[in-house]
Amino acid sequence: MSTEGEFITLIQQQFPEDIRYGITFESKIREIKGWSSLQALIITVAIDEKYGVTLSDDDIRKATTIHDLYLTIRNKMK
Amino acid sequence: MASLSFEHCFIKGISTVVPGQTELNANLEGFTEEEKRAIIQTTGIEKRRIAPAHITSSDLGVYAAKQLMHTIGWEKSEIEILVFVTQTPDYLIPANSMHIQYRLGLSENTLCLDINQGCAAFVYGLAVMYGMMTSGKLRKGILITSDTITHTIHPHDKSLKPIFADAGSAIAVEYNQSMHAPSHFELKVDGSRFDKIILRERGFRNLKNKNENIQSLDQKEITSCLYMNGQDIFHFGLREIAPQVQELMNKHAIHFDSIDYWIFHQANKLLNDTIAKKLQIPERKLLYSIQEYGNTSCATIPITLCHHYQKINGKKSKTIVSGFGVGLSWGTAYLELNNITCQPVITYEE
Repeated sequence: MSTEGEFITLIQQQFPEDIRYGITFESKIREIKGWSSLQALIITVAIDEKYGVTLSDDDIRKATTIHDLYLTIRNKMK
Repeated sequence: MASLSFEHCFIKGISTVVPGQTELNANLEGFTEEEKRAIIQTTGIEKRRIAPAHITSSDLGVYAAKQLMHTIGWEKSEIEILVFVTQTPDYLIPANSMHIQYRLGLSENTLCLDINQGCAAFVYGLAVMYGMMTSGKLRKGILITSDTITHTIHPHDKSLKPIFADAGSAIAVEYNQSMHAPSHFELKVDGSRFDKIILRERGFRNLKNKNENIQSLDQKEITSCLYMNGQDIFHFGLREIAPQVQELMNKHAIHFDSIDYWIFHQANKLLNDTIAKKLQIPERKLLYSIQEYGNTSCATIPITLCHHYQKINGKKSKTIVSGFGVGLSWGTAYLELNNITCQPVITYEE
């Protein structure tokens, strides 16, 4: 799996420019401005294409922060 | 996985009808401009056709079937089987196919059958038709895939309202032992996830009317209306469809390059684009109708064929179709379309 830095960049790229640079590993997913169920789909696709990992709805539901999402993907890739 | 193959059944013609009323997602009430933009961009859906309350799936289906039979010159008396696939039948009892037999003026000898299917309706319906026609040597049949799914959606449901639309399709199917028309089907179901797309009431599991306040969407699931966990369905599609397509291709030694057109259930453009990328399908071979007609449930694959009638009508092509959703179920088929009559999408007139 790519570095944490590459992961956060991937997530940032899925958001509009005025929002993306405020997103960090500690950001709470549901508190990110512009977060919506559609945004979740866009991120799911980006992760699927980059890492070949298809997240479940539960995976996203259980993740509080971006870091949680990173750990979930890393575990799935083991 | 259920794998079926047929040699002598083929599609003769397809007709699709949509209601006249168009709703634009750009004009959705109760949505911010940003929300509307995101919906259109992610789902790909710009317009949807909505049936008024008094128009049912059988009305759309009959209209499509009459147009089709007239166009291809089939006599009513020749039809030996009628399969109606819908999730929105006119009545719980009797099945749509029964009264349609009368409305279409078909013979009493016609085998009539309803199937409760949605997103994979075309694939499942065709597989059943091909199977019954082959075993019974039935020469001509009509498959109808039709839904007024918008009639099941809560008026304030911001997730489902921008997606769903209404349509009905009729497909003429022929069995002829002297014709070589190979087709292959892969069908799967995961019933453990039956409640990911569900309408809990109107069946017999929940007979007691809960008198829900339909002005409020405080509850996550309004049991008298259609519920869909869109996130889960998206993930399901992302996970299951490409492997099923791959399996069908491998099993029958079909080369990806030999396929002229690919049609996936029209539920979400982002999802279909992603599946297509996984399978390395060239953009020019991936057919869509979602922009114009949205998710018409049972009818998404035939409506896409009709939307692209200039590519299909009277032409020869090898096509992969794949439907996935309610059940959860998913089905993929390899079809050789040869000189079929494929009409442009027509508008229902009362």
